[in-house]
Amino acid sequence: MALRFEDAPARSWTALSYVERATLAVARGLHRSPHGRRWGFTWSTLLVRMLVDALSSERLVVLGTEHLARLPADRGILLAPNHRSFFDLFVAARVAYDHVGSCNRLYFPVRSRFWYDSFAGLAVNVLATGCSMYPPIFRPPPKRSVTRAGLDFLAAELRKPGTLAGMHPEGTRSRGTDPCALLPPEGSFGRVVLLARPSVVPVFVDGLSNSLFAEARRALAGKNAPIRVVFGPPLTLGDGSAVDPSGLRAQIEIGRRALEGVAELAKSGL
Amino acid sequence: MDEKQVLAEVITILKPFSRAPEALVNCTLKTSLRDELCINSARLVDVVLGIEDKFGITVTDEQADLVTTVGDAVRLILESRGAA
Repeated sequence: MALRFEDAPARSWTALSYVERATLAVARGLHRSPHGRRWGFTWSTLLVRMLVDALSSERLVVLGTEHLARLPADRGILLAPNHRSFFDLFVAARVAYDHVGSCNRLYFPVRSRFWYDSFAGLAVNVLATGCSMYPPIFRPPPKRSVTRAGLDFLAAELRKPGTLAGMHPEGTRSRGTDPCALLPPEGSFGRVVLLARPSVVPVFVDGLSNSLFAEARRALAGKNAPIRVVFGPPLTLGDGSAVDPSGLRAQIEIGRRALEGVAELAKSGL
Repeated sequence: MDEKQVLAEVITILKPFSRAPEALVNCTLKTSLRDELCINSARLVDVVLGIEDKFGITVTDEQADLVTTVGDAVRLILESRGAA
């Protein structure tokens, strides 16, 4: 059963720091208000598009966009890229945005560290992405009911047409040298998919660093520093009415399937 | 199965995932999975799935979040088997 923020146990709320509660309240307020949502979406599409285009458009090698054009219009879209850079979700979403038809909501769940445990993180989130880095993922076990409520909010949004979200099935960033090496899946991704049944699109992204300055330098190198973005066909989820979205095994299985799709794309994209 | 037997089985499940095998030798119900056995969150998922397979129980994400010590795992198994 889906969990609302209001229903998260008090012990989870009290486990959050004062700053975490405050930043989450601001972000929730923005996403609950129709004006806030509209402003955030407009701002994020303008600024993220401008920034990604400036830093990467000359370097992009994009494959598989035909899969995006064929997605059903009656539900949201969840991009499932590999996770090697802080920027891979934004680049994948920027490219997808031009191919998915109508889109009026953007979400990129993000770990709470920095983004939600400091006011500086919230300021950057709001000013640079229109607070699209939402909901926060709180990792410590006592706070995870709040995380689940956030994920369930995202699932509710993904049931609506016009929602575009990006979430890493791996949960954390791969730090190895092999761009094709993927980490094991985590449960959060599967929970969202099982609750929302969105169009889940595996994406392989390669060629991005973790530094904005490095990306600016590479932008000057143009096509000598390519960024590969390969979209795959959406996962076939089936009916799934008998599957419990809170079951850990079912969640992990969904994550594994998405990562298998990414691994296939990695082979074809290199 | 009593608590001792379940504990022994849990230790067997934990062995391949612990980066501190020496801590498993003196493992008690209070031993922390993360801090003492050095099992990270990704590996903890595998531990929970191993428990599901071994004991024929189903664990939800909420129940898995409450497993922070060896004793929590043992308690989860005993309660789930009792409820079955």
